[in-house]
Amino acid sequence: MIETFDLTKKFDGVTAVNEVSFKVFKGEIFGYLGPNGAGKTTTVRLLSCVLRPTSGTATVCGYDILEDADKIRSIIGVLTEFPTLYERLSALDNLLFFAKLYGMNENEARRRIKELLEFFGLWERRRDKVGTFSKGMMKKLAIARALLHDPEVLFLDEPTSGLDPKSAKEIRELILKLSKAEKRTIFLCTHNLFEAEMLCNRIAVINEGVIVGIGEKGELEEKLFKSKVIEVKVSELDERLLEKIREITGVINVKVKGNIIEITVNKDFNLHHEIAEKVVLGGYKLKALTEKRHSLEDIYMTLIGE
Amino acid sequence: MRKALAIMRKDLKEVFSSRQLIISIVVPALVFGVILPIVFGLSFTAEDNSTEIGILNQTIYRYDGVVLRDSSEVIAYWMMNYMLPILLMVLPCGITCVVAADSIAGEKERKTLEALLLMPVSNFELFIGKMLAPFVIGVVIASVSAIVSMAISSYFSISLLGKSFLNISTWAITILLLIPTVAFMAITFSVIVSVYAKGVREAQQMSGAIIVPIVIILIASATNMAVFAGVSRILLALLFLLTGLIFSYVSSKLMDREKLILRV
Repeated sequence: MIETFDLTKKFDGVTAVNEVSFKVFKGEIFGYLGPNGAGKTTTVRLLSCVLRPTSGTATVCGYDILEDADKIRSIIGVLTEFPTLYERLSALDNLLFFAKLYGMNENEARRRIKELLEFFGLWERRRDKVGTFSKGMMKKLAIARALLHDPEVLFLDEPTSGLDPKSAKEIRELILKLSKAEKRTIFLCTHNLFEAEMLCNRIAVINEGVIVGIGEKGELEEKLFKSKVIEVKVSELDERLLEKIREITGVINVKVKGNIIEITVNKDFNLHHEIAEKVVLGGYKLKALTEKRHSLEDIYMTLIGE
Repeated sequence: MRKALAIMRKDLKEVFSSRQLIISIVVPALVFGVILPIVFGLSFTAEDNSTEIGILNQTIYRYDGVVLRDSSEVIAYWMMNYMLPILLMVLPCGITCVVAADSIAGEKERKTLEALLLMPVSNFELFIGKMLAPFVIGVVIASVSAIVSMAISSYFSISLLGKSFLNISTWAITILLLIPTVAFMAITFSVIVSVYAKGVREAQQMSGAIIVPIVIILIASATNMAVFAGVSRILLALLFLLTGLIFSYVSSKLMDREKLILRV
């Protein structure tokens, strides 16, 4: 659905996006992560045809960002980080205005607006000026605007920032529904790693304009870390058991936290069985043995070099 | 054009939902359309030509083909057909600049411009759409004020001098040619200024600069009635139109998504 080819954008000698290439598939939620100023917003602006690339190009739904800008703008929905709504106008007037710009006819627009405002619980407030809305209500209205014309691709920039936990959860559920049930492609820019981990099928991490990692979380974990951690919970332990574990080939480090043994092992070795054997045959009671996964935060921090 | 009209309607709604903007439009309209013609009208005084010497020494003046009997009629004629329409030109210029600043620089300041730039609207539709509301408001308010001021000054000239000295053709040129061309020049200039300005206030201050040369040109012309006669007004309107076209060429180049977004 989205494909970039060495996409580059320079501003007065500063390279904001540097030869970025990636693919986003239909129906997937693609997380685009990176620190402030990394080039996330510039990438979205390039893909939504507000900025022109310095070099390279991209396609959205098969349309070229340089050749078919108007077509692309008509089939994408964008939620910018700030709601960007007309606060002097009512919610209804805001949506009617944008519906006209999307080329929708009056009846179609009113039907769709009712549907969206009811979904977001804003129908009763439709005639109120947006300036009187809370931050959460504005965000919902901005998402409603992005969905007005049933876009095939959605660019969401920090969709839950500034929202209370309940609203944030509702938005996350909506994003999942749009992707799973309606097969919309979602390009999600976020700082919220919990959200990215929960929602995204694949992620890309951009730092200083360069993509430093791309793929599924497991793939990135696999590529980035040479070791993995196995946690063993036992009823009691002593130095003898720890020594036996240290002797296993492939074990790099052994740490103890209460009655949990954290064993760092070479990722190329599958030592679960061997460790369990040492515990049980040593006469210790094994309560649990789990492989601890690296969090997205670990992956992100490693990728941006922190 | 449908999208440009949608932008215009949205801008009009925004303007009329702002008390501050309404005051900025209505107050100058009242000053130039009502108060000024009343002040001018009150200054109309009949000269006493009843004495024999007065009749003998009476000079006949002729302006725009109209015969005027004495200096009081000349002053009334000059005020009604020269000074008043000239001063009214501040309206299409000022009001257009105020509304344009809110419409373009205001969108930047309120961070709504990006949403507009993300819409499937061509740069040309965006350019036209953004110019329409300020132009329409400027022209309509100035034209209504002109008609009201014509009525008020006619009332005073009939009451105090016995007849109306209103020159319809002069006013027709003012309303049909000068007001739209001045508004056109002001809006195209305001677009240029608004693209560079960081906020509404800065845009309004910078746009205000265009009022000064317009007023100087017009007042300089108006002080000499021969220079500012009918044909000269048409030429002035053409000058404003030409300047507006030059400004619109420049502003259409600036009304580019990338330039606009990078200046937000």
